[in-house]
Amino acid sequence: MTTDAVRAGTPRAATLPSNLLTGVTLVAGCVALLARPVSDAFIPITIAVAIAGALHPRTDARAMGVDRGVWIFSVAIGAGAFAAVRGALGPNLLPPPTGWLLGSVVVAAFAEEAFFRRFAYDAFIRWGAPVAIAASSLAFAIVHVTLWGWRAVPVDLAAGLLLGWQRWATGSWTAPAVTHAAANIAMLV
Amino acid sequence: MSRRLGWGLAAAATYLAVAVVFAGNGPVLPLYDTGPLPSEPYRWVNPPPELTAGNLAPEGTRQEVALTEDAGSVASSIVTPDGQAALVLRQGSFGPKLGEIAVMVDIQPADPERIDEPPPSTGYDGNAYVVTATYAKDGSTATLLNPGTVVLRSPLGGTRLLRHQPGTGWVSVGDETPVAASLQVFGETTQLGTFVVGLTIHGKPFPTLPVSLGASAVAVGAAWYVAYRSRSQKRVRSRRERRAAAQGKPAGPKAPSRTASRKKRR
Repeated sequence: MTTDAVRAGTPRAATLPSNLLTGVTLVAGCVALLARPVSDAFIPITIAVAIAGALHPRTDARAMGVDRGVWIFSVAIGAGAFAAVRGALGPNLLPPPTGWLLGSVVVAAFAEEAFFRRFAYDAFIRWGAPVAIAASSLAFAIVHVTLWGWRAVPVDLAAGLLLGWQRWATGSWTAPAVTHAAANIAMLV
Repeated sequence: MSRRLGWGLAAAATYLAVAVVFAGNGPVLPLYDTGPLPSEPYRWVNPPPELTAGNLAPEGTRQEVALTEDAGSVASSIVTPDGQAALVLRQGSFGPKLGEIAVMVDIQPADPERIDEPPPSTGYDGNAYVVTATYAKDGSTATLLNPGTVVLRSPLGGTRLLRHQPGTGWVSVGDETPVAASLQVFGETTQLGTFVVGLTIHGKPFPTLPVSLGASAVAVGAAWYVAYRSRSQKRVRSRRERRAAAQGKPAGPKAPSRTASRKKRR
């Protein structure tokens, strides 16, 4: 896995200030997501962090070309896993869904994936794909602690690994973003 | 491709196993993020004066839980139609009883102020809910044999689940999990009764909004600066290449680094 990923996507050498600023973006983005209150500011803050992730130049050259077959296949595996778990959970204990809720869970999913699977994955890829997947998943799990408590960390970590695999397999953050949005919607219905 | 598939299946299997172990009937969802949730206004039994005008009456529910001869009651979830209260029962939560085929579970909203005083430094966060269970035919009380999960939604995001103990007052159920994302508190209870969400009254709450806004501004600023620098470097590189091409020289390698130039000077 490591050799493939590193060979396929040799990262561009980064200078010290840009490394430092990448670290600042990563830490500040995680703090912003971790501290975001469940209020009207939730979605704007999530979008601001996504903008930070999207602005940051990419270092993973492999992400330039996406194989459509692999993309569809990886989304199918990810969405299948989330659907299976949703089915096993039984009735939904969340309040009834509204149009606003459905829209906001899709926006939140794309925004988080732009930050974690596009930017954070890219930031760690110089140490190899396993490190990039593990580190972005760990950050992803930690920022959800304030929303779901510490009991959610193993589940979010495992979800992050699955989404990270999709990022690695397809070379694109769009596959995990579509899967994450589908999983969010599945939780509401 | 097959190796990629293998890793994908392994990741999916790991996720399935972890989610089933940690998320079954609990407050943990496999993945879920949203903004201000729930967007439906809270329904109060006794609303604060400023919310009286638009308040809708909260709903209760009465649901039958089937009994089997050997294992007792089946696993089930009883949720009020407005989604403000729920009771999740595992299989065998109520024991079998001769001549009975079901247990009636009843969840009704109540005003906590009329029940008892709140514990010190605690405020009520929403309605109380009276949860009872009786055998369908003879009407006798059905007691819990296994812990059940009580889920209450609150208007302000309270973090404690309290059960009323006659003579003692409100006591914490102990094993409780507040879920800020859905403004719900999940709690494991070994006894049914009257439940309410409690809100601890702090002196100074943590300023999450300014911290979050500030951090997101820093993240955007840092990312913008890296993007700006990267674009200017690209521009300089392409200008240099164009100049080299105009002079008829091959584009060649980049200009030597500062360290290399310093070494050369020495």
